[in-house]
Amino acid sequence: MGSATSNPMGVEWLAMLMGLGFVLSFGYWCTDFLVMQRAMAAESMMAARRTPLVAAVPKMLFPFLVILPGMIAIALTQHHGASTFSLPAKPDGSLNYDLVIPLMLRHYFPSGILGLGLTALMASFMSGMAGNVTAFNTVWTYDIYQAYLRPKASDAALLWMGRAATVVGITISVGAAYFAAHFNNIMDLLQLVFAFVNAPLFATFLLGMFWRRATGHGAFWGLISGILAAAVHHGLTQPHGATTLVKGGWLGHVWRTYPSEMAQNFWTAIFAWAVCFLVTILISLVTRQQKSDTELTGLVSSLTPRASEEHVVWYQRPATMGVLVLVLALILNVIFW
Amino acid sequence: MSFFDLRRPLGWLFLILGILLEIAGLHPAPTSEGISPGVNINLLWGAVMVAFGLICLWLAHRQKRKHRHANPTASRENL
Repeated sequence: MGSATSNPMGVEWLAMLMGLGFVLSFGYWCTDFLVMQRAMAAESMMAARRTPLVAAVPKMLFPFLVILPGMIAIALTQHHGASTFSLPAKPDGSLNYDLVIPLMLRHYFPSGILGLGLTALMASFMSGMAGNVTAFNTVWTYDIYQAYLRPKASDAALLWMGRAATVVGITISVGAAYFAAHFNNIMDLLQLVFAFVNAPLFATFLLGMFWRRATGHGAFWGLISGILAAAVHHGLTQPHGATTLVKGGWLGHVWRTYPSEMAQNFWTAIFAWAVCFLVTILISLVTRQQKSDTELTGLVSSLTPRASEEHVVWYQRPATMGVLVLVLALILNVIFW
Repeated sequence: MSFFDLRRPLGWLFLILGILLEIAGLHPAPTSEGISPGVNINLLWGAVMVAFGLICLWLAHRQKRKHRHANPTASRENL
C-alpha cells in the first residue's frame, strides 16, 4: 500500500484512506436516501441511530452475492473438473462475464427453483429501482419543485409533477445503462457517480450537522463548486488505457493519467469533497446567518439534547452495535485478506 | 394492527412458494449437469422456505396473543 505501483488497482494509501475510506464510504452510507428515509421514519432517536448499523450487517454479506459468483464462474471456466460450466466468449475471444448469475442459474438449477431464482433476481432489481425512482420523484417534487419553483402548486399539479418525474427518472436510468456499457465493471461507474454527487454532498451534510454557523448560501455554493471541482478533475485526468471521453480527459488536456478508473475516482472524490468543504466554510463566513439557535435545535449536533440511553438494554445501544459491526468487518477482512 | 404485521404476508408467501417447490421436487427435473446432481435442490430449498414461512407465522401469532393478553398499549421500546 506504500506506493501506487505495489497494488493492482494503482491506489496509494492516501487515496485509499481519504478517497474510499472517508469521503466515498461515509458519503455513501450517511447520505444515502434509502437509509436516511428509514432513519427519519424511525420510532425513536435510538432506532434512527441504529438504522445504518443494522443495515451494515446485510451489506457486509454483499460481496458474497456480487463478487463470489463471478469468481466461482471464472474458476469453473478455467479448471473444469467434474463440472461442465463455462462462461461464453465475446466476439474478440475474451470472456463475457456480463450475465454470470443468470447463466449459472440456468446451468445448475432444475425447473422449480430456477423460476424462484429468476423471480428473486427480478424482484431485487425492481425493488432497488422502485426505491430509487421514489426517491427521485419525491426529492424533485417536494424538495425542489414545491419548495422553490412553485410553492403554491395544487395537489393535482404536484401529483402530475410526481408522475412526470417518474417518467423522466426512468428515462435517465435507461440512458445510464447505455453509459454504463462503456465501463468494464459496475463499481468503476458507481464510484464515478458517487465522486460527483455523494462526495460533495457529504461535506455539506457534515458542516450542516456539526457547524451551526453554516449558512444556506454557503451550502448551495459549496455543493455547486464541489460538483464543478469533480467535473474539472474528471475532465483533466484519465485512467490508463482510456479509449472514450466518458472516462475523462474531455477538457482537451490530460494533466494526470491514473493507473486505474478506481484511482481516478478516489481522487475525483477527494477534490470534490475538499472544494465543497472549503467553499462552504468561506461563503458561510461572509454571508449572514439567518436561522436562530432555537430554529436549529434538532438539526445541528451541538444544539440538540442527547437522548438518554439508560433504559435501553445494552445490546440495543448504538455503541454496542457499532462495535459489533466493526468487529465483524475486521473478521471478514482477516478471513479474506 | 396484525394486518400490517410484515411477518404474516411474508410467512404465507414463503410457505406457499415452499410447498410449490416441494411438489416440483417430487419429480426431479433435468439440468445441464444431468438430473439433480448430488442433491435434490427443490426438495431441500422447499423445506427451508416452508420452515422459514412457518417461523414467521408463528412469531406473528405469538405477538398477537401477547398483545391481547398483556397491556395492549405497551410497545417494545419507548423514547
